[in-house]
Amino acid sequence: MNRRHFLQSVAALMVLARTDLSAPVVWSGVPRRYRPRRIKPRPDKRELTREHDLAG
Amino acid sequence: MKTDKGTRTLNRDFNAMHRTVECQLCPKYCRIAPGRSGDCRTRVNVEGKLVATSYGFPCAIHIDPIEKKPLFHFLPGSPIFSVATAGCNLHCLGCQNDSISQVGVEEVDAFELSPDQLIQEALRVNSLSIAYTYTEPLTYYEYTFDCSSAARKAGLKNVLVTAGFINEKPLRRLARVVDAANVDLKAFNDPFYQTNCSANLKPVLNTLEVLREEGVWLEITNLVIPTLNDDMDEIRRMCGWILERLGPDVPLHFSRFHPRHRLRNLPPTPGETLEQARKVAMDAGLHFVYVGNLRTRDGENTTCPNPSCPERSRPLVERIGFEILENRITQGRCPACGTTVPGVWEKLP
Repeated sequence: MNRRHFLQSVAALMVLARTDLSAPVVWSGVPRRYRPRRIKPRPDKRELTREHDLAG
Repeated sequence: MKTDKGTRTLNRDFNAMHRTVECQLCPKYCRIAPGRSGDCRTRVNVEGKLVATSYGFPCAIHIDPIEKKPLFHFLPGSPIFSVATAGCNLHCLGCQNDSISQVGVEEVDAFELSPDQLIQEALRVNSLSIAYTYTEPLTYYEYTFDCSSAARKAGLKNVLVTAGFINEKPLRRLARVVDAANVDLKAFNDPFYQTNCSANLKPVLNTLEVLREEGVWLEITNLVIPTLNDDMDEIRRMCGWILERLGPDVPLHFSRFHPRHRLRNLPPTPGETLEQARKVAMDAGLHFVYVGNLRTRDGENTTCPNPSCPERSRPLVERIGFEILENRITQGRCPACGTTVPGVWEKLP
């Protein structure tokens, strides 16, 4: 094992030790880059009942 | 200035990874680095916190007949308010809705609706129930859960249309606010799931058993794909498992495949294959077996499960496509012999 491999192993152990396995799922304050491309206006009933090609 | 490239890379990797989070929702247990998403594309590590980015952003909303889900034994003939957000934790080669399931939240247009607003929309159009469908409702788990809880308070029923690839703990929590589910059992062999869906069979079978245990009305769909999962021995084994673990009254839908996504090289499923699969399932002892996405003589009809019923040859529910021509079930029973037909036939007060 050379110096690089040794450091990688140590780093991997440190990563495992610091991995946050119990992070809560949140949805407020989501950065803009993760938001939908465009927010569509509310659909009216006629639009909702129109035939579409989605399965299920 | 340091010139040791290895060390610098190592430090950068370490800094990037030390706030990795693990998503424990589905059996993939994605370890997500900051700024990256899990395999479903929707659950993102934002500065060390796992964020459900699709929460509140349904990209598809439609009012469908409930038979389209398909659910044949749950409020038949009723329109169902159907929603989906982007993303899926499976990557099926033959996905029928890949335009919204195999993309991230930021790649599609969406509505912005909180759970309460969604319920208001469903009530406005006089829907009896809400379906979380089209993509994978279990990847937008938090939204599904909050909407379902709010819907139940408002007197609406909740329906999941899912591939069932989820861990047991979150599933049991969700099942308490869900009334019915259609689970897509894609095949009955693990290599199929690995190769064609990026998933595994065992968690899906567990989901079926858990939903049954939790009292959720359950129906199963099997999309029959030519050459990939149309082996009758496998279908026989699948039906044997359903019979043994879930009982004979779970409706099973054999659905016709249409060439989509990455399986455009395959033909649509022949009608004879679906009829043959239906016969195999009925011979195995299942009471309610249907053929979907295909017009057949009686493949969509419900008949009395009692073999000595004097009117067994006459359908209890006669359907064509998503339309009901006649429904003779009275208070959940066959009018001729009084046998109980399992299902939820009328909306309870």
